[in-house]
Amino acid sequence: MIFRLTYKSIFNRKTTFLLSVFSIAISVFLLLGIERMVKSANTHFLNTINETDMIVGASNGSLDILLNLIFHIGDGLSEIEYSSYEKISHFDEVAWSVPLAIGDSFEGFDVVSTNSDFFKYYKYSSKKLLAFESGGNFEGFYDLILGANVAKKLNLKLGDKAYLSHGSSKHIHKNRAFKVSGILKKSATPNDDLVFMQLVTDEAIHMEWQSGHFIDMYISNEELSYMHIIPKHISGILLGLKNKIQILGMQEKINHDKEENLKAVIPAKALSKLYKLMENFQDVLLLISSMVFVGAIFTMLSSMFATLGEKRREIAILRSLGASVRVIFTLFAMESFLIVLGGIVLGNILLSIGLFFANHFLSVNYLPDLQEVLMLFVMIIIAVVASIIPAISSYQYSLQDGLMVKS
Amino acid sequence: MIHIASCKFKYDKEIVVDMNSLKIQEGEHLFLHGKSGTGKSTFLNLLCGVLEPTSGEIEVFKTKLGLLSHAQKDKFRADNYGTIFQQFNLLPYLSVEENIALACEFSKLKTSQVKNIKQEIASLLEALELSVDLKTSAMYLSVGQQQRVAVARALIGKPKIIIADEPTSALDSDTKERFMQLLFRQVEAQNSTLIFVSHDKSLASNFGRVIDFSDINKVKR
Repeated sequence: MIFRLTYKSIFNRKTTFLLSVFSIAISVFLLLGIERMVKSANTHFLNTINETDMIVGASNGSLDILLNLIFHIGDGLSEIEYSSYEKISHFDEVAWSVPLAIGDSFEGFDVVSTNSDFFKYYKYSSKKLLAFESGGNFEGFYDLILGANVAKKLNLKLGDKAYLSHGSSKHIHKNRAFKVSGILKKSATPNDDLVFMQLVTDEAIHMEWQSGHFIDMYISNEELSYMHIIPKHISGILLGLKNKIQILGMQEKINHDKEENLKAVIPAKALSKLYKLMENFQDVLLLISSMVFVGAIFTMLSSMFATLGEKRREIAILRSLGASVRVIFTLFAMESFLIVLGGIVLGNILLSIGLFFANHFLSVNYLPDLQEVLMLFVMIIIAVVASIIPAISSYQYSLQDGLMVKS
Repeated sequence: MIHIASCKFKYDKEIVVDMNSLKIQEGEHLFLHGKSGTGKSTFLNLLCGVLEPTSGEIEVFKTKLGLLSHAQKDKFRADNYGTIFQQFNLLPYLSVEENIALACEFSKLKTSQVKNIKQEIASLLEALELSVDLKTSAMYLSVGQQQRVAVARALIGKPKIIIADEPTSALDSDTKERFMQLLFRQVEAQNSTLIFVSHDKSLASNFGRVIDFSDINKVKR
């Protein structure tokens, strides 16, 4: 009956009730949304690269190297002599090495020039290789491998022809028709948005470019494929070592290279540095959404206080019928409980709808985890405890009023 | 028997009620006459245990209200009292039936007095000559209908004491008369003690005992 009383009383004031529910729902949406985005971004970041012991680049900032070579954010790196790559790859400690050259773009997507080893050694998430949706590793000279998003956005299929531009300019290597030879499965890593070509091919087509100007010196595709081309410059190197113990020694060796200013970055370390940077930002986001929740609680309380005058009569009637103080507090607690519960349900529905759309570019969980359930539980407790404030006022009124509200 | 012994009540250091002794016999129909602002409502609040006297004692059917805890007082009120006010007796969003049943909600004693609550409500309303759908929301009733529903709620479960505080002041004279007849009939039928407070002396004729409140309250304004 008390539940029915609450329910009917709320239904009688449905507009204010719904407004309170909405404001709670928005804060739930924000809190859970941010929480989940942050979590997925974290796993995302931390899982982007593993099993690679070292990333080498020509920059003083380890984050700079990581961001440019792995995440493809940033404004590029200085070049490394290809000879340095050859030297490093022949060190005894090195088990495998993959050269990377970045800087070109294709229809707005970054192009990575590398070799077939990239797909044999680059691992992400739980030591997974990048898998092919269709096609396979580089075979022909003009093969292109596309990330899942690239193929989808540009609507390219296996065997389709494609033309590359130089740098970020509009010039197109018109006479060099590439063929899509492989399309990657979605990996939720930056590789989804990359285009891969062979380093030798990259070098060859750039032989036609001298200092950024197109010289009409035509080399046939056939000629090119038979020429023995050695690239001059690359942007970075991925290294796998034979023994993890050698990581620090190897890092020293590369960092103190006499011929070139190189820096060897341990991905796990750089990632955790990045993670720490993001953590502060995440804390701020969570703080903001918590404030939104506190704001929502105040909205709820103010709407409860606004109806207190109206409620005065109801409470006086209930008191005259013998309703105890406990009943009055229960009524308020139940109302705020229902408001928060409604807000949580609505907030989760909104979030699921939001995530449904967000999942096109982020893979975020739909269901709340234990920590989030705990968070929602705390929200309920805060709201129910907060309802004590209007309940006390209401009780004080009822003491003043006695059995009858003098209107 | 209700016994009020030299009871004082202070509100903001000002004495509002100061009365000698008043005894009300079981089954008595008492008309308490008094102008507004003379402390009648305070007296009723004291009698119902909603307010506590600053000094003095109130004994209701051998129970000393001063000895009860707050929760016990609430329970005592739920079990033994039925109250009717001037207006706003009902929760507007509840139906007629729910409003009446509310009286049993807080009292096991009242609940035990009623065999079939639906039937009891229907027969009470019939006796009070009110023919409305039990499911009608109270907010759709006229003032006269609302007052009868309030009477039905006060009567259900046969409480020992019925307190009526100006229950007719919102009614026109024809309805007023009929209302009084019906109230009396039902109160007599279940042998409850009736304490009826009003400024309207014309209603006093039906009562066995009439007291002017200014005669028992020493505080004059």
